[in-house]
Amino acid sequence: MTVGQIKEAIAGLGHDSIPEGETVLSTWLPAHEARLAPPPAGLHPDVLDFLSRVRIESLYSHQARACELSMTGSNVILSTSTASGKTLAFTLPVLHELATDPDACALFLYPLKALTNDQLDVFSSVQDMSGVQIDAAIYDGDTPRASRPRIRQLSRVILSNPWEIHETLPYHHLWRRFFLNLRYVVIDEAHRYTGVFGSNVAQVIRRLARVASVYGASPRFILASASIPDASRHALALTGHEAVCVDDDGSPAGEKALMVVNAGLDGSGSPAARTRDIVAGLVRRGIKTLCFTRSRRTAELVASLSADRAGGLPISPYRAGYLPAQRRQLEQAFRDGSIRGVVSTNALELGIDIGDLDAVVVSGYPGSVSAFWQQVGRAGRRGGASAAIFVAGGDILDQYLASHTEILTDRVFERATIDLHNPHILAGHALCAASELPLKVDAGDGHLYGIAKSLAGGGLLRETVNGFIYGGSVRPQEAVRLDRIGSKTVSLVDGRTGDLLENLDFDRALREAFVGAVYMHQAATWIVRELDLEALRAVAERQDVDYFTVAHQERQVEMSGDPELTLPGHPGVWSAGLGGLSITHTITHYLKKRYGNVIGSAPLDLPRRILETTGFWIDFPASEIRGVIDLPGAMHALEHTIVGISPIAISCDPDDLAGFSTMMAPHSGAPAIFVYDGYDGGLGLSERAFRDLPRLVAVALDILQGCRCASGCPACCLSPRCGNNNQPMDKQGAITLARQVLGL
Amino acid sequence: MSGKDRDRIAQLLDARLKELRLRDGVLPSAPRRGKSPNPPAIGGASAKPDLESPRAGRTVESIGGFFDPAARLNAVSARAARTGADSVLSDVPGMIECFRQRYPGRDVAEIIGREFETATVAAGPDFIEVCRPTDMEVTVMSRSRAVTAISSALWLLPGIREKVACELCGNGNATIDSLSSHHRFGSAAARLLRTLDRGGAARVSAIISDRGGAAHPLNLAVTAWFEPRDFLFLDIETGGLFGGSPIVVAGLASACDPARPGLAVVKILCATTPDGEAELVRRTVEEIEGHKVLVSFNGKSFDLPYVSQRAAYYGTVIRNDPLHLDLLGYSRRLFSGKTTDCRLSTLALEILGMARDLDVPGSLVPCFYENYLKEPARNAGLLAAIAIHNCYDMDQTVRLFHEHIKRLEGCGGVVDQEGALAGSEGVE
Repeated sequence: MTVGQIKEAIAGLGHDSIPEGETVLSTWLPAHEARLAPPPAGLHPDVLDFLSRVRIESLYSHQARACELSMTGSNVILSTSTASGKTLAFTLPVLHELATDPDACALFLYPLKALTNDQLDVFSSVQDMSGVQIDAAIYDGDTPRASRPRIRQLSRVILSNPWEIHETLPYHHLWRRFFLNLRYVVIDEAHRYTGVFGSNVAQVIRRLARVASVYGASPRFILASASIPDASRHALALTGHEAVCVDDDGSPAGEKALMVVNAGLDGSGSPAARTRDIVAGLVRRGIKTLCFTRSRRTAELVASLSADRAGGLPISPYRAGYLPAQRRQLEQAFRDGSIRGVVSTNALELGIDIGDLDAVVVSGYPGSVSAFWQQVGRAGRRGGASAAIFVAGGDILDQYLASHTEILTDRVFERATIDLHNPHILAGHALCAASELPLKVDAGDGHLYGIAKSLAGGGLLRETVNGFIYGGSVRPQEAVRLDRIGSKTVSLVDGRTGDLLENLDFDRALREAFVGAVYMHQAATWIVRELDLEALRAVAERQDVDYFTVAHQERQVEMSGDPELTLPGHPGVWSAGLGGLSITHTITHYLKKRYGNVIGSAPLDLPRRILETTGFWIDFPASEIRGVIDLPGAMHALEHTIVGISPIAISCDPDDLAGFSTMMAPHSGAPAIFVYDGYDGGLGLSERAFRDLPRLVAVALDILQGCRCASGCPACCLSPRCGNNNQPMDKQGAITLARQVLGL
Repeated sequence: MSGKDRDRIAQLLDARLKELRLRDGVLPSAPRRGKSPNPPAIGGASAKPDLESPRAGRTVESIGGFFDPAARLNAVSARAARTGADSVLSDVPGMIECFRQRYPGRDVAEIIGREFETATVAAGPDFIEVCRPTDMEVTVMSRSRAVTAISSALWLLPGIREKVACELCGNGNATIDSLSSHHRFGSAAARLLRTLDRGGAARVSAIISDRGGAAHPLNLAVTAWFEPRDFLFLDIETGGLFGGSPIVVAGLASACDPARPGLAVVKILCATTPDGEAELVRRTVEEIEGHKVLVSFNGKSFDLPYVSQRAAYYGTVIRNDPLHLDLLGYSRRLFSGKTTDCRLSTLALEILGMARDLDVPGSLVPCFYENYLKEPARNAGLLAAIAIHNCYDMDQTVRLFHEHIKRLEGCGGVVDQEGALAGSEGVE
């Protein structure tokens, strides 16, 4: 696309798709030229041959530098923008090694299965073009049992994911050849490994390196990441090895129009209608458009609505849950241009290859500045001009961004956090590690030694002259989960044909595929007729309806047992406690809605989901507090701020914690804030926060006071994760509350 | 972080693992009872099992009321036959008590020594080695019978299946020898004969497995290529089905006594502390490497991979690749439908007439071992029971092997491609 074409399209949108006054920002991001460098000296002739066959004469400067650093033995983390050619940057040094040493092997780890398919295609063509025998293969949960031995024996490049490595490590003897020759571990999308998930993956990678070292291998690491602050620190935390950060992006960028459209001025909640007009308007004008929405349903809805308005041009939804074959088909259709518009959830945020794009529409704040720029960065490959349009909806967060667009344009990215000392996480991985090789704990490592001793006390580990060995009888890997994603899924089938439509996560099925639910699949509406939770099967029938359904879920907090720790606080003003909490999620009924209006409701009888975890609470015994007008709003704001600062305060991701404020706490009948670990059994996160509660509240107060906003913003107390649309919200009240807690 | 906090974390993990054990049917260890160092008197306290958190949907039954271990076990077995073997496993504390009484004593080596009078028991701090000479023969087929058997298996030649084989027999071509100048199968026949003559056992076995399947009983004919002392019988008992748990006992039988050539000596290696496993694994690997043929029951999918995994765990590999004769496959082909099931103990009882009086169900081994480690002196009988169980398994494996060879010889070596022996009309 040329700048002219983009300008024309935007002008056109102003005529027919965006009402006057809604465009709150319209600017152009400057183009920058590519900075090129020759391929590093010393690259194997087969690699040079490969480059010339694919007509690459020179590399972007960051690619050349990463390649050279890696070839000379450094671990590298590449932290550059979307579409800056990171794949080539890490493929070249690996290929060099494979060409130089005919036995060398490499392992590639991805946080999403879908990404391995693309990399497999890359290596098939690299093998064809370079003549280097690679036999790259995907090895994950979907790999048929029968083809596994051959892959283990033959493949020099294995494409996998952390979950699979976690499960596979005890069987390292079957991987002898691979481990003996393991030269590279490549970790793509490394920014994804953050919080509890990242902390677990960091342990998996240490276990991997430990096993490799027994076979005499000490692989080099290459990490690729979206732009994150302090990338080399993240690499060190994730792998345990120092890595050089390459973040001087040499890839070219065309001019990019950046627009912010405020579709929520009239207070209507969803930006869907405006998004529909904009996507349709762009596609109609021949602009290849990718639109991101926050929810699966919005993706389906916007795709179906905008297709109606795009004059017969196909616009397709895309999201997780679709069957792999269907996804591949959509990706292909989008690449070759037979589909000109795709509306997706963040499933397309990572590097799945969908070809060149002209415009990205971001419908609603994706939750972080990083994610926003990842999404926006998908348009404008190869240096052409492109457009990025953010459509803000009516919720408080979107509204705040619409009036403070500098939050988006300043690009202050969120950091990735990893906690290497969490005893819950360490204990789980100590068991796994001891089932793989005897665990020799350095006496100097008192923390881990203490944990191992405790595990040995219960018989899970046994201390021997060779180190701690695993003493249990079932696979500990099964008891140690890397994230919260459940393994149970429900199959949604077409009641008429019996065909599988998609697989849903169990919890999602409860919320979205109850009997009577309108379920959107491939931009069409289906009515769910049956949900069998024993057989894990839901049956739906295709039917056109003009309403949608929303399940209503209630959350109840109860204390399980007595508090383990208490803080007396200030009598009559506040006190606090820590203990076991049981959080019950009940889906009580669902609402039928048409155009945002409720047209009916029906009760639901679904199993309650109970999270048994640990959390802390701050009690405010008086239902009125001097200087606080809106106590619910003040508590809500303080709760959000406390959860929001968890990455700096206790090294976890805000997603790892959850909060809850109530005027009627079950244990006291009085107002209280609850903050708890979002993991069954608890992970000691809120416990750590609690042990340092005064400091935590002081940091929260600093954030609230130091923030220049008047009544709350994403930088202080507005949360993209809030289930109540960030209401009520009283920032000034929160400041008063925090000051009282601190005795100021 | 205090020790108490760490203990709580350990308990949390323990609870999660217990759930998985229940799901997988690996039994939880019995809770520690009282503080009494002595086992309760026979006929004493109620044997009501206090299993931890019995799960819904899983029946937990008690077999209270029997005071005599054997009677109690008979009751268990009777119920097992009635309701499926799993229910044996429901009364864990009862079973533990039962075996404590059957094998009293505080010293594992001594208990085993009592059970096998002819055995020599060498006990180290972490490790016991039991050596028991037996009168069981390690049987090999005679070379001539083996060649006859293979030679009459026309189906070994590519292109010959049942129908063609019948036609050829009808025309007087009953052996591969007779086909060596056949216009269609001559060259293949000549090739096979050459392999028989010079190719070695592994090649011959590969051809039989290729044409008849790895579990084809004719594979046993290759025993003729070996001496009895080349064979190693292997059976292990483990702390779990997952290779991350230790091997507790390894049974190794071979004709290793030059003074009694051809007769099996059953060697049992038993780790009496967690430290002992490394040594147990090292010696097992050494034995495997020292023999040319491995004989097992289900060792292809369990015992050998398990030993490999444990060897890798301690940083070693098995450096040879012995010919492996797994009796489970041959037995399935031969006895399927003729016996109650295809477990070793069932075959031993129904085919060989070998009965055991009191035996640890395999799935109780992890639980027995854990209880032993908790209180080694009090529960010495539990580990001894595992070792004795293994010893019987070894005997039965050696005898079953003998039986297979005899049957193959007995049918004049005529085996069809499906593995049915000529003239075998069910089991007498």
